[in-house]
Amino acid sequence: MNLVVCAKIVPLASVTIQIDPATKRIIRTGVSQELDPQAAKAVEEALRLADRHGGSVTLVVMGGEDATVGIRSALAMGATAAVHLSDPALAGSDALGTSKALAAAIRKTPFDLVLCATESSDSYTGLVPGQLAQLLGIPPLTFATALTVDGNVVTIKRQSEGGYDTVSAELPALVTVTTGINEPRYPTLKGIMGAKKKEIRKYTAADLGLGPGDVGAAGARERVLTVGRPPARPPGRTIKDEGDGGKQIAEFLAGQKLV
Amino acid sequence: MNARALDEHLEAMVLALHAAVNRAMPHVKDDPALVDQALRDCEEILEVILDGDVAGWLA
Repeated sequence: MNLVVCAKIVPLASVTIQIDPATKRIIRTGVSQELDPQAAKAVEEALRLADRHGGSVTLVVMGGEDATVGIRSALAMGATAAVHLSDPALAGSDALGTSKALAAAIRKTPFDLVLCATESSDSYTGLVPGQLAQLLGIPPLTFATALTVDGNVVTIKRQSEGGYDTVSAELPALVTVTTGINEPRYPTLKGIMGAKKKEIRKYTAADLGLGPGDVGAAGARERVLTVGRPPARPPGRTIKDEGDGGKQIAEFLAGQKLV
Repeated sequence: MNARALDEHLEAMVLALHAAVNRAMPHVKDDPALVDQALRDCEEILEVILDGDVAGWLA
C-alpha cells in the first residue's frame, strides 16, 4: 500500500508565535521548528498501516529550508521517503494554494491512502484536507479516531458529538486523524542515523506546473485583514464561604442556567 | 565543519529526547516497560552526544 502523509512543520510548542505586522503571517524564519505534533499522529497511523499491510510511507511537506529538521524527524520515526515543496514562490500561499501544491506533488507518486492531521497546530484552519481530497478527486473521511484498511476499503470511526460514526470508502481516499487516535512513536538513535540516508525529493512550484496565479501570495484568495488578541475576560467572581458558600455557588450556577 | 548539518543533527537529537520524555511521562504509573524503554533510548542518545564524535555524526 502506498501511503502518503501530508504534514506541516510548525514552530516548537515552547516558542511563542509572533505575527509579522506587515504580512500578518507567522514569523517562521529563525524560529526552531518541529514536525507538527498533530501530523506526527498521521505519520504514526501510516506507519502502523504499513507495518500491518506492507508498503511505503511518503511524507509530503510544504515549507522553507528550516523544515528539514521536522522532515528528518518523520523519517527517523520510520517514514520511507519525503517530498519537500520548497520555493520562495510558494511563500504566502493560502489554504487553497497549499492544497494545489500538495495535490500536484502527490499526483507525481502512486498513492492509495492520504493521511492528514485534522488541522495544524499553528494556524488551525483545517481547510487543506478537504480541498486536497477535492483536487485529487478522492473521498475525504474526516475526524478519524480509529482507522482500518481491509482489502480495498478504508474504514474509520468518525468522532461525533454523541460518540462515533463508522464510515467506509474505497481506496484511494483521504483520511484526517484526530488528536486521540494514537500516541506517536519517538525517533530513536537508530532512526535518526537511518533518516540521513533516506530520500528527500525537492520540488519547486515550476516542477509542479504551478504559476503565480495558483500559489504564493499573488495566487492567494484569502487575505488576513487583522490579527489581534482576544478581548480580556471579565474578572471572575470570588465567593467567600461564610457558611453559605454552597448556596451562593448553586445560585450562581442557576443564574447562568447551568443547573 | 558544516555548522548547519551539525546544528540540524543536534536539534534532531534534542527533539528525539523531548519526544521520548513526552511519550513516557504520562505512563510513569501505568506502563513501566514503556518508561524503561524511553529511558534506555534517551541514555543511548545522550551517550552519543557526550562522546562528541562530531565527524562521525555528520558522516
